[in-house]
Amino acid sequence: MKPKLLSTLVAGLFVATPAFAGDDDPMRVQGTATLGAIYNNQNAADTAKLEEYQDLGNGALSNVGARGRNSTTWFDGYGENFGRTDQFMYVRGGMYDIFKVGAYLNDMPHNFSTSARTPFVGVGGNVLVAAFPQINPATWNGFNLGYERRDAGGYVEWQKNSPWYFRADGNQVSFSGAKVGSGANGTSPGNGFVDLAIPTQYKTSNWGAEGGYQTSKATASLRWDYSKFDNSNETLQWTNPFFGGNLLDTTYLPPDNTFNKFTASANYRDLPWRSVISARYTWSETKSSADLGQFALNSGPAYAPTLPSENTFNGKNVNQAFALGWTAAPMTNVDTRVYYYWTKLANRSDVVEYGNAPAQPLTGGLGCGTVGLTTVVGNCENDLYNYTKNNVGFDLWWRFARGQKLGFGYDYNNLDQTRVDYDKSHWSKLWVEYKNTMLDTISGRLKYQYLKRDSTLNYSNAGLTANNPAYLSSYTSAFDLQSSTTNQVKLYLDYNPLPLLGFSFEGTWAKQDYDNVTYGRTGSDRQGYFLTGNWGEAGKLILSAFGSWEETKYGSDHRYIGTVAGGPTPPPGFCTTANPNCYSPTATPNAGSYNWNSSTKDQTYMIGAGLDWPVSPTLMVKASYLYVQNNGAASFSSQDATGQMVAGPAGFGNPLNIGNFDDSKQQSLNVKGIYAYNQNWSFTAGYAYEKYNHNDIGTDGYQYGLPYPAVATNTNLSYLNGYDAFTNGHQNIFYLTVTYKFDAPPLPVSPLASFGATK
Amino acid sequence: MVALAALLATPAFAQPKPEKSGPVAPVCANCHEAQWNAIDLTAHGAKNDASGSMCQACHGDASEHLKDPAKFKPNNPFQKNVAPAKQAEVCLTCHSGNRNLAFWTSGKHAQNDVACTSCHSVHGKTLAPNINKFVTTFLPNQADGCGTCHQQIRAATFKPSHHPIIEGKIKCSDCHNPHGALTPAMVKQPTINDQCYSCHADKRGPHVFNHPPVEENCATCHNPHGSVHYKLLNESTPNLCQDCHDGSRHPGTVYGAAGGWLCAPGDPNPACVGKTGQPNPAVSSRLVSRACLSCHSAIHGSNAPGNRGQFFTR
Repeated sequence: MKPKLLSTLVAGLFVATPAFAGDDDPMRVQGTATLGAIYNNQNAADTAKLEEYQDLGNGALSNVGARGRNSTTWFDGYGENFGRTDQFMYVRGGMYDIFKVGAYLNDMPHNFSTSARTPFVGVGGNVLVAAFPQINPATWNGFNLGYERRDAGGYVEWQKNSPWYFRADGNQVSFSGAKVGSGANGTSPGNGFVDLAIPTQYKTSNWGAEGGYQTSKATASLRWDYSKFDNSNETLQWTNPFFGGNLLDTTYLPPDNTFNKFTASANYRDLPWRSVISARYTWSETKSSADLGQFALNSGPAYAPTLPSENTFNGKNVNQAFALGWTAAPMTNVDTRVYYYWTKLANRSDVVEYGNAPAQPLTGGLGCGTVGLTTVVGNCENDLYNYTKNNVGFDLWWRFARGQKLGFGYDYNNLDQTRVDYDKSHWSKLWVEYKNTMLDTISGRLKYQYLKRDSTLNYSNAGLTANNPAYLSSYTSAFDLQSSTTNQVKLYLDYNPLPLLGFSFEGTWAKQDYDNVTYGRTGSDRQGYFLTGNWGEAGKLILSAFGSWEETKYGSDHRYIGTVAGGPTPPPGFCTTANPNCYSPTATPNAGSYNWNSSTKDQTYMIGAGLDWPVSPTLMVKASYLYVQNNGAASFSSQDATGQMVAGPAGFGNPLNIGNFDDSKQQSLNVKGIYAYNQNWSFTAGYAYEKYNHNDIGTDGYQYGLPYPAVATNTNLSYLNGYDAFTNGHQNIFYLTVTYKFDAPPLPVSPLASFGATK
Repeated sequence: MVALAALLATPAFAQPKPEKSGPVAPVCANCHEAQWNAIDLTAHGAKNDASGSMCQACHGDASEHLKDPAKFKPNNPFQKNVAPAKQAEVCLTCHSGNRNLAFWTSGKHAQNDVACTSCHSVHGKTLAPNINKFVTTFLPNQADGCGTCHQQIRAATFKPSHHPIIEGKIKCSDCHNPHGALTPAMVKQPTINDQCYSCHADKRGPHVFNHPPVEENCATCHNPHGSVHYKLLNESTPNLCQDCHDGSRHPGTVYGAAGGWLCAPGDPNPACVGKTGQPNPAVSSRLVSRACLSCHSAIHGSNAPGNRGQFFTR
């Protein structure tokens, strides 16, 4: 925001106030203004993670806030971090029960890398050019990978003391910068990749209008939302290093789209059994339009025709949702809720066939094949994904004794979709919960939940031999839909013997077992325990602390098939004669095909402590410390020649365990003192220490070229930009601010004798 | 914003003068000064009058209390031993007509005995010390309040990969309606994906080639509250992808430590024997950096032609 506009805004807030200053109903205003400076000494090769969503650069810190009220009118205004990339401000006001208006601006940086490198020139634009090979990253170009996001909007509501109301709102979200991306070299992922700075010049405009009726007995509303997403760059062209001619390849970026949504909602309360019936229906349509690529860079190298059946793709998704809920107290001490929820996605987009001519099919390297194949000749057609979901259920609560209640619920979901692997799924959830609040100082809640999901896997290998890649499909499951059984327990305990003394515990344990899995995720185990405590005495010292431990484990079974025939006879992807029946889970294992399994585990610890200590009536000290650590690992086993699952190099594929799978440590120490010089002026001095350490198999020992050391003649060389690789480091932050505040003049207190005079 | 300030200042909005003799603090403030000061510059304070009509709206008729304050204590409907539903009834006396509370009874909070005062403090209260990283915002963080009950969610926001919740740039209530909703988890939009798309409009598509799990539920792969894995992923890549995708060559390949940037202990590859911690000549492009996503970068959908689009590589 320009300084002139800002100063006008702030001035406007205060200038406006006298206008309300009627003789007998003055606008009373209180406010605060802070100005100071921040100094940040950073020590990291890449500071992006230390300042991921904030502007922590050296400079000024500031904020201004004011609010005013009289008996009919009000306003609030606030702004902070003016002139910085994380500035925020809002102003709102209105007349009670008549109208209100508001506006805001919210800026945020999102830093991915502050020291990225690339062999390309043109970062930020939609053409990235480089002359390959370039094996010396020291000669590459440095750039900041990240974007700045601005969200600015406002609203107005009109009610004027009636049950009827109208609201209009809108905002615009804009992004400027670049985000993380990459592209496969050559024609398939087998040839390495290059990191690309995806130009991110987005603008989303949102508008909404709503009208309705609201009383204590019923509400009803209609709302229309419109959103338009504009991307300044619908493609990114970049030099593909795989091809010797340094030809430009094309990556297709998010297309422009428009979104329309209509919502009707209502509820009615004045029903028997103190029941309330509520309903909501939404209809929305998302449209996009994109020119389809007529050529694609391909082997040769050459731009091969893609032969699409349409020149332009018209995308259209129609979503509908209907929700119905009924809550009631049908008898004393019993509450219940019955609900139904229906959602539907209808994809009415164009069906596009690439290679739209039997006599002129797609060339090799560009075509699509069946599952498991990499480079085959064959035309490509998109599948339109649709679904319909039905969800029905009920809850019932019975307060069977003072401070004790028992809950029970059942929830049923049914999914019908057009997906190649699963088209039908349904799941039932049963839960029971006991809650005890008999004692004033202790409360507890114990919940058990059972979920059973049944899905139908469409694949069949009937009529296929184990040499056919399609044979494997019927053994491969997807964890998001595979039939499974989940048991979950949650426990909550609270102990609050005194207003500022309390402990709170939350424990969760969940185990999901997938049924009939040959290949895919076999199970997940999650547990977490969280403890928080507070102690203190108001006006003297307050302490708070928490600690937690979480563990997540995923197990999975897989099959490696490495050696297959190139075709066309036998067809591409088929097993070789030296490796027969390679798609059969029970085939004799060898180095070309074998089963293996994996177990990933994350253990996360956290501790935090904080204190607020009023050292004296004029000095307050606040301090906190936060420590977060994650240990991630993956262990593997694979078949040996006898078919046994063994760990380590004894198995085929050399499955060495990974001990650093997103290991991380974060520390944050904050200390600040606030000195109140008088009622109006105060000074704050603070220090913060932040440290971040990340150790992951994907970045430990990171190089900008892959494989390393790079060989110039290697056309499969990958070119990386350093994202997420050099973020270890720490920062020391010092800040000093001065704050001026003024309070509204106190009102005279009505004398006791006047009670009832104006009632 | 300037227009707003000017609008508020215009004579057109000069309201009819209230029929009372100037603004005064309510009679209750004679004894309950702190409680009055807490609501003075709020809607509750602005609508109050000399008799404390707003005070009595919650605490009941004060006539007897004023006659003998020691004998007749004012009603405190928000004490611990009052059932949350009863507490809510007091607030709903005035606020039941508020459309934002239309689905209160259908929401999880009402069912789980969350009272209005669990989150809202009309007269203010002493808060626990803030525990967080250093943030530039001077404003209180809404997640601190929600986190007093939702400890697991609060812990997730501290994990290395998170939405800017602890930085104060988005709030819990940007996605959830704490006052009740008909949707699971009280999300504001009809579906999880609609909720995500309300900010991530670039993911809306529709694309020529779509990834069905993406269109069905973003939460299949992402945890919006926070994760130890980049991009809020539920599991490390490539393992996350391999939990659905098995097949010939790379989807079904085991990517163990032998594919890292550095030679791993026990790696039998002759080039790595005795060279633990040194550059690994057999580093796998499918394990390091962003693993599968380094090549399949358009995983949310693609308009690229041929297999470039179908396999999300462009």
